Amino acid sequence: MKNLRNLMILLVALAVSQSAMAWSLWGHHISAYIAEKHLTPEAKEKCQHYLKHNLPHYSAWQDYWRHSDPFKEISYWHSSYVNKKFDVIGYKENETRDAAYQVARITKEMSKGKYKNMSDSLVAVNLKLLIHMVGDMHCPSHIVYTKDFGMPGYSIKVKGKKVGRHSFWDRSPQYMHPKWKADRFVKAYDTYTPKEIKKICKGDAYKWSVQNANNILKTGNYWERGAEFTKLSKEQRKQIDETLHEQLAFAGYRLASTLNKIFSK
Amino acid sequence: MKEEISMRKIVMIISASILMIGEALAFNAFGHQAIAALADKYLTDNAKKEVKTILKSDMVKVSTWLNTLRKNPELAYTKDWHITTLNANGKSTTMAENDGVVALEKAIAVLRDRTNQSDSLVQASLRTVIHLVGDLHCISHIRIEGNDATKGFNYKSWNELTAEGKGFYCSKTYDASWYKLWESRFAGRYNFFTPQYYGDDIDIFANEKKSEYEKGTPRFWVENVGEDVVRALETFQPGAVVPVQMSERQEPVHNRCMAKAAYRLAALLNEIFQ
Repeated sequence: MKNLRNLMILLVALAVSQSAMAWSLWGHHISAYIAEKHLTPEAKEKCQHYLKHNLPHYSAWQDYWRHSDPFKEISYWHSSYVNKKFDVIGYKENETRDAAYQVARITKEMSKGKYKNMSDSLVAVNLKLLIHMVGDMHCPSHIVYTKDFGMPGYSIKVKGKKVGRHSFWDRSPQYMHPKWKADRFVKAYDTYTPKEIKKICKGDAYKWSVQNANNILKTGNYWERGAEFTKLSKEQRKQIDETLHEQLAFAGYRLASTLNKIFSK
Repeated sequence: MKEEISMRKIVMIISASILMIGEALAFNAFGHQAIAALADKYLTDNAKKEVKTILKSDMVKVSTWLNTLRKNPELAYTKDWHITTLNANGKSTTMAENDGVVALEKAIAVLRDRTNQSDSLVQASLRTVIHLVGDLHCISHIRIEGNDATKGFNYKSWNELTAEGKGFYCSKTYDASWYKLWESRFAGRYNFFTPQYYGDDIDIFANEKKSEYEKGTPRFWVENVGEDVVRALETFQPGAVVPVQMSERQEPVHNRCMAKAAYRLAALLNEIFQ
């Protein structure tokens, strides 16, 4: 019955979409690729069993399927919404419409061996959602601050073309390193020590969301509104790259820790 | 006489290729590279050694070589090698000189008779086999007599239709191509990784169906892909409005065709070079 109820949450819910995009495919690939390198052998084996593919294969699955009738509700699960008190409140204060809520829910429902009571297809869908949502909630444009926060829109131009804050951060891996491939990104970003990784992964999805909200706040001061990306100073580009480094690596580590926890013996 | 003409053509290819190596790779290069990478994983040690000796390179690097030839006017006829035509019943009976399956059979015959052939001809033939086994597993490279849709068409893509007939999220339909659906829509998502990584990702039949997929001849293989073509055309037709999710549902079909190509290429080369 519980399985059925979980499946119903995914399949029956209907809603009107908000047009939030996600990390670009690159961003999702990078975080999932980093996660794959930090899975325990048990978690890796289980993920392969249920997904049949590598983690990056499904890292953008939630974007591809969000417009399908049965999955419309998952359109609301790409971002985390934070108010001035740094509470995670969900889209229009609906707590279930929040990536942090959904990551915490799925983790809880699957941990301690409970995934074994689910159908294989439900486990697979849950894994696909986790892979995407943990990535998304670390994208600077996917922490949505309430209006009282006063977070500026800070658009930017890329080769003369105006790009909003949201689109910029979604595509920032391509903008910053257009010639890099997955292995190069991992070499540059997967640089934290085991001790640091343990600290990064401490807590649950809510705590991660609040940490992201704090960390990303500084991005509002990286450039003047309407600045040209190609003319940013070395220091400004370094700031952007450091944020990318942190957010993509943290996403990868936390995804791995989530999956390791779910499939721990 | 016919054999002499074919041999002359292949020798011309070798000469032209020397001039053309280094040109931009053709469309769907990454898909070919991934197939070659996965096939390489399943080569026997002996086959691997022979392949390396003949190619003086590796399978991944030469997997798109055949695409570079068609730009040479003298070799323009090779563009037809990338496609095969089945009869109206889905059977491969063609003997047309430049049909893909015929070109593949000729190249295989050269490899089997390699001790009596020049090194350059054997090398060109191996490169041809590596590419064509891939191409002939691409759904948009299979044509069926009497079915004009298999020659390629545009359809309209739309995010899933609601009960009211309005698009969800996407307000307009957009033109999408049957050809690109199979050539690049899915493989294009993974060129961020190495061909080996993508090859491993599609290698999901190794424990169950690999040995079944490896069986048969090139003609059986293209007939097998032809069955997927017929099934896909139940959804995709010229001008049809197709929800984008229906396109997404083709990814497993696309991946299975790639995996079959890799398993079959490896099995063929293992048999030739045993």
